[in-house]
Amino acid sequence: MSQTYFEDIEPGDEIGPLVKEPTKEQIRGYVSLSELRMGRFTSDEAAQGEGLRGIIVPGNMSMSFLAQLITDWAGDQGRLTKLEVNFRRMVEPGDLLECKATVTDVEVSNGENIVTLDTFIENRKGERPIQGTAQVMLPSRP
Amino acid sequence: MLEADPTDAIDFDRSVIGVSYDVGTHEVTEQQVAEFARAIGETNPLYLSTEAAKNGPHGVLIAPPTYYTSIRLQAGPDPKIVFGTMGFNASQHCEFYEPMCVGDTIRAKEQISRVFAKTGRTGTLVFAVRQTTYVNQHGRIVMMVESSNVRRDMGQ
Repeated sequence: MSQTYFEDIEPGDEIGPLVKEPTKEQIRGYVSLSELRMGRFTSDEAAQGEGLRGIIVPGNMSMSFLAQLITDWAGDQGRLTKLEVNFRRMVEPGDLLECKATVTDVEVSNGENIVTLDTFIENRKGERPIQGTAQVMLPSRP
Repeated sequence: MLEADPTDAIDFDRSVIGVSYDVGTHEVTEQQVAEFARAIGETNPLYLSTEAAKNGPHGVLIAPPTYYTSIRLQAGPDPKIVFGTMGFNASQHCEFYEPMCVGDTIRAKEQISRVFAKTGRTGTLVFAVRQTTYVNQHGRIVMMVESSNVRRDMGQ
């Protein structure tokens, strides 16, 4: 995996997209692991009983896609130190999701190279069901 | 004139606010890290290849940052909010201090830090904010999460 260095980054840099299209099968795998007991993640009938159109993707699963985007970009020597996301809309299985981030700030503080990002997931309708910010520490170029 | 706080009208157990509960321990295993990685489509060798991890910055397999969402613990404090027909994950605010490593024993503590109501265009929403702190076997805090759950009336 390639390494991103602090000196090569500036505000406005775009990261991604990491494209995801979660299936009902993948949701089942995630849910069985996390023991989310809510039927809305595994059964269309249960989801409809709650007023939804059908199964939805767990928010924490979608958040994990954003974490993957950022840690892949930061490389082995980089470190995700903060991730703050808000869940604004439902994500449904089969939705084509583009996980993206934009660098908003770079600073050196207490000897650490800190990069701040805006990060979000965009669906095919151009909506952003998940949106937030992240902070990453990057190594200096050797 | 002060407006009434809509939270005052919400029925919930105020005695749990700010009280920290020990919600048990979790052992980070190679198998669960691999299953979690597979479930979210992770391919990073630091999570999946013992060999790559050995030569990586931590020397051992580590878990992806959001692995905490797959940790099964005892039920935490319940503010027993009497409102709405449905609850949703509203936000997750995470601070990561060091990775959870395979072989770690993670102890978690949880508290409800706040319950509050907001009334807007779409009606009233009631939020419960839960803080979870994860500590490893060395006594170091590896991460903290503030997760917010919102309850609303879907019939509104």
